Order: sequence, then C-alpha cells, then structure tokens
Amino acid sequence: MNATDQIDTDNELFLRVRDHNDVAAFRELYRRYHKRIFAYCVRIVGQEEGARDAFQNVFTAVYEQRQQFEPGEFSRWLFSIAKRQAQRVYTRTVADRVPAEVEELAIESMIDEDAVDSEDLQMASYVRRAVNELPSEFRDVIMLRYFEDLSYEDIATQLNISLSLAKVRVNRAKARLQSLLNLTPEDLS
Amino acid sequence: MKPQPTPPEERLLDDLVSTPEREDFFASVEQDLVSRMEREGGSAPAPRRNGWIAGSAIVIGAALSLAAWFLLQPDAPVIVDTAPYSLTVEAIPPEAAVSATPGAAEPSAQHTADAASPRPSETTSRTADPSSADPSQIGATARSSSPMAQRALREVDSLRTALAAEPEIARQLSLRYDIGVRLRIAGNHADAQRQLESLATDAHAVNADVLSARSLQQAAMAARDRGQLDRARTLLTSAIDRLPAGQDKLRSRWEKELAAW
Repeated sequence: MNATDQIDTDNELFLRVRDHNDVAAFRELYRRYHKRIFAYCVRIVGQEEGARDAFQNVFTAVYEQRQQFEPGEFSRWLFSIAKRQAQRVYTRTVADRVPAEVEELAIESMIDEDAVDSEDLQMASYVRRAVNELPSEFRDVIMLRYFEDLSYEDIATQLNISLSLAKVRVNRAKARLQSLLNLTPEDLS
Repeated sequence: MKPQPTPPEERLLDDLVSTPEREDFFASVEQDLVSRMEREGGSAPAPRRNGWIAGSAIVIGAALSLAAWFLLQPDAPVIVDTAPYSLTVEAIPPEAAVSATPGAAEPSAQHTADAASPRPSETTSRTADPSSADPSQIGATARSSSPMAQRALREVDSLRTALAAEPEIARQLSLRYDIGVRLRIAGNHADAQRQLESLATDAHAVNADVLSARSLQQAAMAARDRGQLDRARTLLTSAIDRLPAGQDKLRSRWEKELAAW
C-alpha cells in the first residue's frame, strides 16, 4: 500500500461527501483525521480551549466548503483549512487588542494555502522531534511500542524489566510527550 | 474500503490526544455535523433547489412574521424601500454607528434589515437567548440546542460583554465580526447576516475595507445557508468588489466560491 492509495481513498470518500452528502463517508474521514487535526490545532493555538474552537470550525468549514473541493490531495486541503482556522483563533486570542485592520492583515499573511506544504508530514516530524527529546528510558519504550509495534510483554522481555514496569514506563513516557506537545488535558469546566 | 496502515507517529499522536473528556467532545462535534448533514440530506447539487424552496418558505414566513410584528409594533420604523429579500429601514450615518460608544454593535446602526428579521434593535438580546420565541428564528432556535451551537452562543455572550466595555473603535469592529461569525456557527443565520451586513457598512466607513469585505463574505454565507441564494451572490459579489488591491488570493478563492453557487 503506498501513499497514493491513501490519497485516492480519501479523495474518493470526500467526493461522496461532496456529491452525495454521504454521512458514512464523512464519518470515516472524520475518524481518520480528527485527532491529527486536533493535535495540529493545539500546536498552532497553544492551548486546549482555543484548539477546540478551531477544531469545530475546521470540520464545519470542511462541510460548508465541500463544493470547493477539487479532486487532488484531500489531506492537503483539510490541513489548509485547519491552518486557517487555527491561526484565526490564535490571532484572536493572542493578539487580543490589535486593531481590526492590523489583525486582518495578520490573518491575511497567514492564510497562504500555497504555503501549506504537507502539514501532515510536518506533524509526523513534530511528533518524532518530541520523541527524540524524551529521556532515553522513555524514548526506548515509545520506540518499541509504537515504531516497532511490540506488545508490552515483548517490551518487558527486550528491556529485561517486569511487565508492569513496562506498562508504567510507557504511560509515563506518554504523559511526558503530552506535556511536550501541549496535549496534557486541561480542565475546561 | 481497503484498510490503511497507520504510520507510527499517527498512532502515537492518536493515543496522546485521546482522553475520555476529549472523546466526548469529538463525538459531539461529529454528531453535530452528521445531524446537519442529515437535515440537509440529499445530493450535493440539490442545495440550489433546496435553497430555492427554503428561500421561498422563508419569504412567505417572513411576510407573515413581518405582518404580525407590525400589528404588535405600532411605533415601528418607517419602511422607505423594499426589495425581494430585504427592507431598507431608517438610515443612520455610518459615522454614528462607529462612534466610540459601547453599543456600536447594536443592530440599530444597520442600514438594511432582512424581511425575515425581528425588530433590529431587539435582535441582539434575543439571539443570545435560545428560548426567546421569535417566529423568524425558529430554525435557529432548533439548531441552538446542539452543543456546538450552544457553545457558539455562549461565546457570543462573552464577546458582547467584551464589546460593551470596549472603547476602541477598531477593536469594536473586530469583536462585531467575531460575533457575526459565531451567530452563523450557532445557526442563527438571519441575525448573523444582518449584523455582518451592518458591520460591512460601518467598517467601510472607516476605510477598513478588508474587514468590510470579509463581513460581506460571511453575510453571504449566512444568506446562502438560509436559502437566499440570490442575496448571497449579491453579497459575495460586493465582497469581491470591496477587496482592496493586493488581496489576490482571497479574491480568487471567493470568485471560485461564487462560481460554485
């Protein structure tokens, strides 16, 4: 399976959404992308609540702008919308008292769809960089668990540690990564 | 559908993002959109036809609610002009609308009001309260029950509070833009359209033409969502015309949008 198959399938699904309002196709695309889009919004906005705003706006915009989608790279189109929405929220929250025209100019300078160069791949490298920043004992378990796809039992065997310690270490490594990636859950109540 | 291999970074990211509380949030966003798709069901080219039918229904509904409103409001403003989907009410100079008064966002400053609208000066408070029964807002009220719509309405409330305390005109305009967009997200298209059209006029009066054009574009989307496709096209055309030089990407995107309508 190569990347093209993935792109074609996403396209195919979204064309069903665009042309037939196909709910199942929409659900499948949402399932594939929603967490990555959320993480992407967090990365740009920098905090949970704003990221949630942006996230909602992304999928609303995807649906509302479906007629503008032209067969191509769905992922690129989706991330370009995410970029625009997240940066809009960011500008609103951070540049709180910037006069409207300045704010608009700031938004304009960020809405550059041509500059959205494979954000999906950038997210992967963003995650990789965070993994590389982990202390070695955490990095090792993450690499074994996610990049080599080993079970907890295999990780325990390979590192010569107990099964429970393997699980604890993976959980701690994930908590550290959440912190590095601003993904630590916040209390929004 | 062929199963796709998931890259390790993606699986890891999914695990990091996933918490019970976020899963609830994701599910509610998904459900909102799915419900909307189901409401708007049918094939994609149909919106034009559905929109036309909805537009007709709105015009009939608007005429009825306007008649009822006049019966109840003997001191209503004088109507000086009529158009297929809009009525011109007493004009207030744009300068007055953007004077440094906290109430600058009040729709009383607007130049045009939609026929389906309640009394302009009352719309702001009505919109924030989904329970207020206004015949022209029935659709919006129904939508307001969804979590996403409720969230948008809550944000409208806090933005209005901020607006009331905001002395700076530029910032007032910006807040009004946010309010208009939120109203649209909340499904209150009539109010959103009215506020955004009013904002477009006020922003233009102080030479904030990018903001003015954006407001017109958002008003166009609100008009489209309530089935007023002709009005939507007119607004989007005005938005494109109002864009200052140097906004080529935005212009091209909107032109594409207009062609799709």
